[in-house]
Amino acid sequence: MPTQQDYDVLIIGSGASGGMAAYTLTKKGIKCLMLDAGPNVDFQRERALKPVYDLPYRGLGDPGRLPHVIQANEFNANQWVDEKQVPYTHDSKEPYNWVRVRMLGGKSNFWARMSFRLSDFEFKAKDHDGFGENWPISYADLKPYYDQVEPIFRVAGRKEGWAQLPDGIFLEDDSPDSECVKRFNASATKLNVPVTKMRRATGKGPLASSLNLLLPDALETGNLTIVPDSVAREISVDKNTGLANGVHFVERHSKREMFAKARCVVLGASCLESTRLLLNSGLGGASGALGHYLHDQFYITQGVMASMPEARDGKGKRGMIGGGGYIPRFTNLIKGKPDRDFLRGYAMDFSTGGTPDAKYFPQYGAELEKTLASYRGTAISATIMGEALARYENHVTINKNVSDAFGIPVLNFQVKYTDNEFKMALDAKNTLEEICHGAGFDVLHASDKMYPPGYSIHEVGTCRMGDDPKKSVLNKWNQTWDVKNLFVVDGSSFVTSGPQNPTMTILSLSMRASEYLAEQLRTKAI
Amino acid sequence: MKRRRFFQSAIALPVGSALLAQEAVKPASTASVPVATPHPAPPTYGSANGSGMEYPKIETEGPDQASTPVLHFFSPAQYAALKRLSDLLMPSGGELAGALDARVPEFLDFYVGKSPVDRQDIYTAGLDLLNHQSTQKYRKPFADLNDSEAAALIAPAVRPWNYVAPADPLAHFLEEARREVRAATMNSREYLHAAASEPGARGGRGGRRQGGVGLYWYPLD
Repeated sequence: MPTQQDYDVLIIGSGASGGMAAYTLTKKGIKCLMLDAGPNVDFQRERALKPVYDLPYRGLGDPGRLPHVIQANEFNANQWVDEKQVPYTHDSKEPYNWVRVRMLGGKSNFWARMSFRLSDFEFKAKDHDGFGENWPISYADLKPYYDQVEPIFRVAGRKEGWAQLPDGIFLEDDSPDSECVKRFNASATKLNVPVTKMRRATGKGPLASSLNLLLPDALETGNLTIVPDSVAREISVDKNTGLANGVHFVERHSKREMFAKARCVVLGASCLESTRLLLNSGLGGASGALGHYLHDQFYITQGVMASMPEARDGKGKRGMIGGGGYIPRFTNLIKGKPDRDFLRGYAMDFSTGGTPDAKYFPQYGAELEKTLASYRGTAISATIMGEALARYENHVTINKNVSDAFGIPVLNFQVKYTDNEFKMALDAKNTLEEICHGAGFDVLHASDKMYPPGYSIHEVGTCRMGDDPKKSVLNKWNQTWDVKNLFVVDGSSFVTSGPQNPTMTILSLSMRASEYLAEQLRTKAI
Repeated sequence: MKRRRFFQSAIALPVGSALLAQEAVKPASTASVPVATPHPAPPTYGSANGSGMEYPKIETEGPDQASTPVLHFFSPAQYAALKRLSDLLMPSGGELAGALDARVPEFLDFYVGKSPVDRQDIYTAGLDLLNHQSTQKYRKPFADLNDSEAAALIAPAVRPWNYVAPADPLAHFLEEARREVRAATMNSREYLHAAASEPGARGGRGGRRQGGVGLYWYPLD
């Protein structure tokens, strides 16, 4: 076991990005120390099956406990970060839903597994429509890394040959579609809306996580030491060299102050925690971009709720309904010929075969129960996921007046959606309604009202990469312009997000940056 | 690291197994060691496989099964209206438990009382409006209306759900009440047990969080 003097790289965070950094670096013989703010969870010990009536609030949840985590319920409330222990602030009229997990493996233990590649519609978005900035890399630069990441996470999907959603190294999904899905697809096709199978990481066993797919291999090399319960407070810099030389952290249980030393520091603590750490350390801010351009995908989880009439009253025979699909971006794809009154586009996923929630029916009592019995297993529902534009004015800063339970100043958010997102949402809702009507489904509900920013848990952009040190925090290798042995490998490096879920891109960027860092260490350039 | 893992493993072993493990690594006895006269066998307090170390599991009940909650939040008039409304939204009938069987009004007095003020206001304003409109229309409080009178009173304010909460305070209240009275009923012990005993029921009619069983996360250590 190396002593505390021996670490080449100190990695903050153990989720998708930190885990991939450890996976890549340790295989090249680099000694790594990984700190994570949360515990090493024993999934057998920390969870148990319980009847809902044994919960204190009958499953309705502890009122007011996690006001920003719409995903929380009374069963899983303890898996999310306690907002009282680690708070944040925002204007009451402009809420931000910062959804966090602190445990080994991070959010990769719970993600929805939707696995997509970005394309040059994102990497070179400015060239396409003039808004914002291009990434300093293209799809061709990242493709070799997607090619390596997808087999690790065992991504299933169907190849389509679409430019806006590049194919990957898939476990081929050739499962048959139900009659309901075929009708949905046929109706979409008439409207020139493409549909494919969901692209999803199948993982291994119960997880598709850093915890089971990355960290075990890294530990196997003998080059990784993991210290959980370590809340990073500040990155330390050598005054003589200007280089990062370690991290001050707080032991979670005892609140003891500790210091870990290394030759290089890699941040993979999640977009906003990495940004917070840089801001609290006074690093990475020379360009003025740090903390700015916070964006994500807006979500509308019930963009449409419809019902297949032929399946009602128990008539949904085998093969009639079930399964779903994914609609990639299909708007504004031809350069110089915008086809909507907004920039960029949205994606949607849909599923069939559930039961519409009682809230969609203006009934109660026996009448409601009778209706629900009739509609059981007949639902078609869809989620809208739209690209929010990266705008300078959407940003986080440090609120020096508020600290968390560890004495660390918290983030203040100033983020809101604008007309581009609202117009996009309306277009998506109308498209879904049109598809459902065309397929002969009864539309019970359709909405263009999105959740507050942050809900998607796809926050990116606050340490954007670029070719110009005056406009970006990181160079094209996820290396900070200001401190050359400090890297940020999570979603904060994104320049644009597209409507695709970001995890495959985060993993690929982290692998690419880590290979670069390994080479820099080997050649003693760092 | 390995040293710590070893101790963690040792701690995890039952005492009996740990002792057996120690026996396994003892050096073989030599001929020069005198053989002691065997002592009488010690009394047995538990079986050799460690099962005697199991802790007892005592069957208990929740407080709702053995006692009555003390009401503290709603006024008597509001509570009476809530009770009447709960029975209207989730009536007892057939073999399934209704809201009153599941003691939903008592639960909501606690639950709403613990909620943020804006949520409390939705309930108190809504219940006051029910009583006000009932008195205006029928000259008696909502609690005293029969089913058809109560249904006629709330009919204009019962609407399908939307993301945007209704501006009408009664409609807003009824949207919340319809959802929470139903959930609190279907998630009750009374409802689950009744649903599980229905002919053809497969482990309960409710879903994962509606009368069913879920994977609960304990507070992380």
